[in-house]
Amino acid sequence: MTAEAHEPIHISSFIVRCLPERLQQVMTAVEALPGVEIHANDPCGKFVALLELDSEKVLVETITTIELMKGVVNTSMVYHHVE
Amino acid sequence: MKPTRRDFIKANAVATATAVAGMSVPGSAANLVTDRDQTELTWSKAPCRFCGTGCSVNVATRDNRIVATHGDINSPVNKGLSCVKGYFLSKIMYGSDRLTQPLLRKTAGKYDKNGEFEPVSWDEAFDIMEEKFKKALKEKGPEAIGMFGSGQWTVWEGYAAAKLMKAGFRSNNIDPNARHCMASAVGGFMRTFGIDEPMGCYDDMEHADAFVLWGSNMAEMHPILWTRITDRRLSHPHVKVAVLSTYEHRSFELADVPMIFTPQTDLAILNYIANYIIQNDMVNKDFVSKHVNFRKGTEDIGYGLRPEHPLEQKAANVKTAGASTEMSFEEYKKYVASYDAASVSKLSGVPENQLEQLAKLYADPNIKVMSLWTMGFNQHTRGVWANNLVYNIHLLTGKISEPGNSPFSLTGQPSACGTAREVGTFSHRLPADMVVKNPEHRKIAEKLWKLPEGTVPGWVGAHAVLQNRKLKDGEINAYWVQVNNNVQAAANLNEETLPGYRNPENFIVVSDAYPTVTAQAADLILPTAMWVEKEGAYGNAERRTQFWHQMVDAPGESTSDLWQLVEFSKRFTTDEVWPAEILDASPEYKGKTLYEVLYRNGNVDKYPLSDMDERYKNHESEDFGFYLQKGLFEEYAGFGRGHAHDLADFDTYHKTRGLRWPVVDGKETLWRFKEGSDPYAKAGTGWDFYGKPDGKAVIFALPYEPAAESPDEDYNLWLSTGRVMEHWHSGSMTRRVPELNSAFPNALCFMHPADAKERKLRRGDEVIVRSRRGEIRTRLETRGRNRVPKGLVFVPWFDASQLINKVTLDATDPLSKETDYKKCAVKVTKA
Repeated sequence: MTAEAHEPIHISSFIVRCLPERLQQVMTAVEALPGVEIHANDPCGKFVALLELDSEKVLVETITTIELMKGVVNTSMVYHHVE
Repeated sequence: MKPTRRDFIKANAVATATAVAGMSVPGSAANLVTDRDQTELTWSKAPCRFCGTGCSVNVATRDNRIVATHGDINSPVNKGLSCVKGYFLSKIMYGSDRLTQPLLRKTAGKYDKNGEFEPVSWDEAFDIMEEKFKKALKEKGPEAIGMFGSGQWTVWEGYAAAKLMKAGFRSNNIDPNARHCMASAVGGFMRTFGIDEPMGCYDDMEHADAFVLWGSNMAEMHPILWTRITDRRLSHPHVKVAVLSTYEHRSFELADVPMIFTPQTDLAILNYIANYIIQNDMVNKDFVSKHVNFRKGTEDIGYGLRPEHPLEQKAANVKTAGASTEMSFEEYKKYVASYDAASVSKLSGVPENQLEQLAKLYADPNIKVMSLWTMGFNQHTRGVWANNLVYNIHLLTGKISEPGNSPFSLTGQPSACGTAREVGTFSHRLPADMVVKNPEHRKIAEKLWKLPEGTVPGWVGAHAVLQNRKLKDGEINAYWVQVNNNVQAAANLNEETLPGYRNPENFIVVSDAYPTVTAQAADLILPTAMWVEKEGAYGNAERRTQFWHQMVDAPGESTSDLWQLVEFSKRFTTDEVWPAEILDASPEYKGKTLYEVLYRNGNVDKYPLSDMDERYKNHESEDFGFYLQKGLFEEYAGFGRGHAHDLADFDTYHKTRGLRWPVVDGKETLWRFKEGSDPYAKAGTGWDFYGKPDGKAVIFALPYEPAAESPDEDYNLWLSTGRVMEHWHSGSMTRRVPELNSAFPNALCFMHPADAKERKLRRGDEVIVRSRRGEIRTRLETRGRNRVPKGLVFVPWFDASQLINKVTLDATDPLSKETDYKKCAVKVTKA
């Protein structure tokens, strides 16, 4: 990788746990957020979200938005790569 | 970033998360670390700097700077997960106003308590400290100096401080900020079991059928543990979660049994459950007859206020608060009989059917129940009672010390257990649960410390709240604060804390990494190293001791608390600070520095530098010429080994992700007091509560008693204070991380919309929250993450620009001396 000037890119993965009866609604709402993709989900109420953003501030705001959604019990961060 | 590389990283991120979540891995299991990371970054493990959960993180450094942290996949605690505070650990050390030089208040080149801060050398800093401490000791003796330390001290920092104060200066005026958070829990353990710390462990979360949160908001304050509970609940539909609080918070999202109760009435609810168990004949009679004694506790014990306060004058049993008398089961049955559903429902505001739902979780012998609590129970004028009462219901049913049956006292700070409690950095304690009042315990300490008999003083020193009062009254005149922000944290700031710090008779030293309000109230500030800028050890809530190496250098001239304590000891000789009687009886100690008798005593300086891991720096050991941390640890471990507090040897901890004590023959203990699991539980007992002489735990009969200050006509709202997930404690670290700060920049006053309307207030208004003691300005919030009931407001305390402790009351549990931050009376008006 060359040291070219560019916007920092944050790639982070999360596990979101929500009440099983709200899983579909939560996944739909989360996928609608900018920079968020959903991968792998389990009907017991958890799914993996991948965030690709150019600002850590937006990253934290996105996490908070997801956390406060009705039916979301918690989110945990797993992997964070920035360059 | 090139597309193929970006895809690779994305796939990595997804694969890692999916694996950690226990779901099937899509595609091939990718290597977890990119090539670039491998060649440029150095990774090492450390426990997180924040809460008592004690997650392990992998820390990456490059060019003497931390650049990243990941949840440690190999940690049994967090298994690769990270919460939002842990996520930003790499940034907490790099706030722009990080302190790098000692700062002393001066005018015209000389120390002046009313002068401005000027940079000075370490020599000059220690010169003035030496002068002030010697003056106080000479004029008034050891009772005139004090130290306020921390549950965020490393294990050996706390141990070095305890030695310096108790054995060096011969003063028991050392107390940790853990007095504000865990003292009631400790009091509960000692009264019920005779020995400190939880008998269960985090493994209980994967076995319980029911979880009951008593006033703790785990979703925000112990998020990784909440993740484990959530997993258990979501993957096993029979599991029930009950959440009890004085207001609705984020943990309620998972609640099957959500309960809002009037402040203080948790005591009544606990007694109701005991009553329910007895009335419905659900007592585990076999367990109770073999393993339990009943005692009636003293009532009407006051509120820990100053003696002249009317509430203290009125209370009948202030002086005998800790006493109790024997009682029979029948007498106990009669005692709790008045706590029936109807009266407790009326008192607490909780509907009867909910009370019964909750009671059934405890009463049903087929439900394994885990109770979890932190500040709601502990920061309580009857906090020790609350702890005793929750043990009562686990003991009546025999639901204890086995997987899933677990009364679990959650710890707030990362090492309130490992340092403050286990090392005994309290005004009344010594290591391994020993106490200064017991002459046998003092003898043991003197022997292990290789000191003359009579060195360790037997008088109980000043606890946190009393230290502030004594500073105000001019009785403590030289004072050292390390790893806490007590001007922001202590209750009743204007009446007690601030007058003490600014009393012209007093010299205040504050060791910190940042210019907190406490540092700003001091006379001398010492720039201090943080976390992985030094070699350290913490002990978490489940008795897991975890070590880390120094990974980067501390900035500028900052040094660790450990270095400061040990270096300062060189300034004093035994001739100066020990009485003639002791030195005449043991003349071989004459003319020695405290450094020599405390830290060059053949134990602490036993291990050479060659014992160190050559991959890592160790500033303190390199400076003093021996492996200081190992020597301190091994001497300290001598207190507990063989006495049910066994720690493994020093080197083992650097290799593992921690071990849960007692560690005997290399094996950690998951469930204490249980035969087969705990090596100290004697064969044939089943359960052996060996902290008590007869091996039996104690059920205490204790009543509901009201709070110190309830709402009235003038101050018509309850004030509860607490935290939000984004900020740790007083925000001194997290508010310097821009992402965390912007997520929750300032404190708010959470109020019920109807209460707001009644007061002609609207969401977003600037308001004044006022008590009889002081006021703050803040903004009103009627929505958001906390939904308070009518009659109560909630304000978090992380914001240095909104010092809510100007408003709070310094009432404490008279037994634990822990401040009640959750109950006082306020009014809220438009600013």
